[in-house]
Amino acid sequence: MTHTKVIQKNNRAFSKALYTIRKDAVAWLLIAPALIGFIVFNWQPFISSGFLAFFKTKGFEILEFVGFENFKDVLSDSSLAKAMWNSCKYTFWSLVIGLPVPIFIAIILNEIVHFKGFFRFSVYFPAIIPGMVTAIMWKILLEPGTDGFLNVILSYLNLPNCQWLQDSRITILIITIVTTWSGFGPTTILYLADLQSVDLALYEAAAIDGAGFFKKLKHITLPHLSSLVRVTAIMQILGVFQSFERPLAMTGGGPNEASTTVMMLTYNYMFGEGAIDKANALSVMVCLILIAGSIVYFKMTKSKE
Amino acid sequence: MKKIILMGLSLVMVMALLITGCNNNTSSINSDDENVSVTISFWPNSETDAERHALYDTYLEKMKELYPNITIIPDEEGYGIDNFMVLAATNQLPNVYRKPYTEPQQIINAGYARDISDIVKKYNYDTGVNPDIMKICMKDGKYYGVPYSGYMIGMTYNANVFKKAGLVNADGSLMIPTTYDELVETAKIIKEKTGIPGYAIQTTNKEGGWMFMNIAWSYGVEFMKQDENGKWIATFDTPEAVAALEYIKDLKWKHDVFSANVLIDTNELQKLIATDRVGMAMFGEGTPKSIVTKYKTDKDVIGYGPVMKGPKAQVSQVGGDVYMFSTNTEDNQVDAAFKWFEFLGLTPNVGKDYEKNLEETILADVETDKLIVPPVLKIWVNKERTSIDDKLYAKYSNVNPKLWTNAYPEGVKVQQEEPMCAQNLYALLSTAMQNVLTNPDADCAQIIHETNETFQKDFLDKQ
Repeated sequence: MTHTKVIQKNNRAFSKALYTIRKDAVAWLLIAPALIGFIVFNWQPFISSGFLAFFKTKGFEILEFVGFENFKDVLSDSSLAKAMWNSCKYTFWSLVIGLPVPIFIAIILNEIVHFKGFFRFSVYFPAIIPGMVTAIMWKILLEPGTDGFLNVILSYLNLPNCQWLQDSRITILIITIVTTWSGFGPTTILYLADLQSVDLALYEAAAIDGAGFFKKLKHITLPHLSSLVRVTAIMQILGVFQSFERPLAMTGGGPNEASTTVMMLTYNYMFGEGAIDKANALSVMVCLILIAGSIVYFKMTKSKE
Repeated sequence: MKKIILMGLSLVMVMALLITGCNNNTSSINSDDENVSVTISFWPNSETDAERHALYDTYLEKMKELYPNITIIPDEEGYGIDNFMVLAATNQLPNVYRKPYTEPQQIINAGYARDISDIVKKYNYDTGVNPDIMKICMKDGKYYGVPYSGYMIGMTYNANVFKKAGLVNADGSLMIPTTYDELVETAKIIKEKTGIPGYAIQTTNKEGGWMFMNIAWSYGVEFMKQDENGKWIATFDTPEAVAALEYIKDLKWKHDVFSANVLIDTNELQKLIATDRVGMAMFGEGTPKSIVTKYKTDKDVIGYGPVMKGPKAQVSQVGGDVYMFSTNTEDNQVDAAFKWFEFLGLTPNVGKDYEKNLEETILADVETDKLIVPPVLKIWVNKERTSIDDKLYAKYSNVNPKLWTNAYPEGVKVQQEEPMCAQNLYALLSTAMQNVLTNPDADCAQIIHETNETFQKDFLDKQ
């Protein structure tokens, strides 16, 4: 290839790139604010955190490279195992309770003929209340003792009072129920939208073959929803494993660390002890666990398919 | 054309975002100027503490007359746990911030406090402040702060609950307990006669452990000591510590005098005692005033007295706030802040207007029907100053003398925070308290053993 031909080829490539940029310039400019926000508030802290995890710090000031010392320090912490186990319990209960509830509600909503708008609003309503408000509201409702709101109802029904959030055996379960209550609305709407895209001819064909509601559900509805279920499940695992504000507001991690999560532990390192290096190390560990969990989950569901 | 307009609009949006994002809200202070500005945080809030805020406005005017070159910039922000570290890391703290006694060492270690040793000495704080309190703001012989307030822990009583339980003497005073055993007996009477929990204690965050220390020390617990090599050893796996924890457990499960809610922080406990839902609780000496202000509780309902005597001692921990300086504060700004402290009377020195200013401050509280309580813990050791304080507080005190007993009688030992990892110890002890208050079968000896081991392994060994 002669020198002139190379120059011509390069010019063509440059013009093509310039054309592409000019063609999409408006789109790039429109997404720029979100992109900048994403880089500044998501990626930059993420990368900085991963970097700082390998250094001894004084505040945010880097003192020296310490390799995996911060990780060792975190791993030797007595609270870590408990917090990890609690986060797993949150995840388990959120899959048992939080995953099927919106599916169930969406199916019911899809079947409802009258007052559809009212029921859809009712389902979505808890989601528009700020998370901290729902946490504090439920904390008040779940007050133990004879003057607690739910205990008054139990007394009225001649049932024994409950310690609710202060019974360490059920603390996580209750927080998961509250989380599900306040978060199932948007997911329900997603499922509902997906349900409305099911080809009605399939239901009609199934009905002709004598299929009842449950058979239609098993053979048409649920298979149709399965891909969305998979996505919401992984989002739920990622989100719930990082539970933070509800346990913090409702129990402060108690009683006896029964509801402390790994993210609360990170918060305690960061703001309670000022141990920013340890907080970063634990954040990296949580990130790796979630990445590994997500890969395993996708592999499992893919092989099942 | 449409495309060009769109591009232009998008560009404007991006620039607007960048400009807004890059706008640094901190005011720039030129220390080389003859005029000096200094930002003082924790200023009385204009909405929740309007009267004091208005009073401080007049102080600002007077300060300006005295020192025309000094501009005090009020900042109502409190800088709590959530925003302090971030603002400190990004160099956005105000020049002067206020922190409780429990935090200065952590802040100094993180490098977020300025060394103010020279100015502390210039204004005689090194010799004019109670040395035990001044130690809180010191590291390696250097000074990083000065006290703003100080208090001792005592016992708060709700007179309505005591009256309902018939625990009132003929002269109208309350039949208050003096020992931890008597406290249980009094709490049992309250519970039996009124159904109201007789006693409750903070158990969440680090507050539980912080309060528990008072009981444990009174039971004779020693939490740590240094061995011959200088290494710190946790030493509270002892029968005394077990007995102190058993005491907490028995309040709930044996005597049934504890509140139903066992996950309580100070705010919740204040609410309970302010609204006649608990009979007794341990608080710092400033809390009754807060309760009366915040919950509009009748001044004749809240009583106060010393901490209980334990089997070995009667111990009260000190608490309070200190003023510290951000690292970007210049010498002349620190000096200006100290002149402001002098003006306010937050100083060991007695200026010509000290008495007048203090009287005005107290009168502002009197006018707004606040509780005027003579301070128990003396921060300043200058007799000239303490005698003025005593005289004015005696003159304007509006506490009911029948409900108020000396919270610092002879025999009460004032205890400073433990020397190493005290905050971590408080957190572990809070967990231990929650454990025994939620589990009737909890083994106190085992819990203390594990807490001692964890404290050694997770914290002392890593120092």
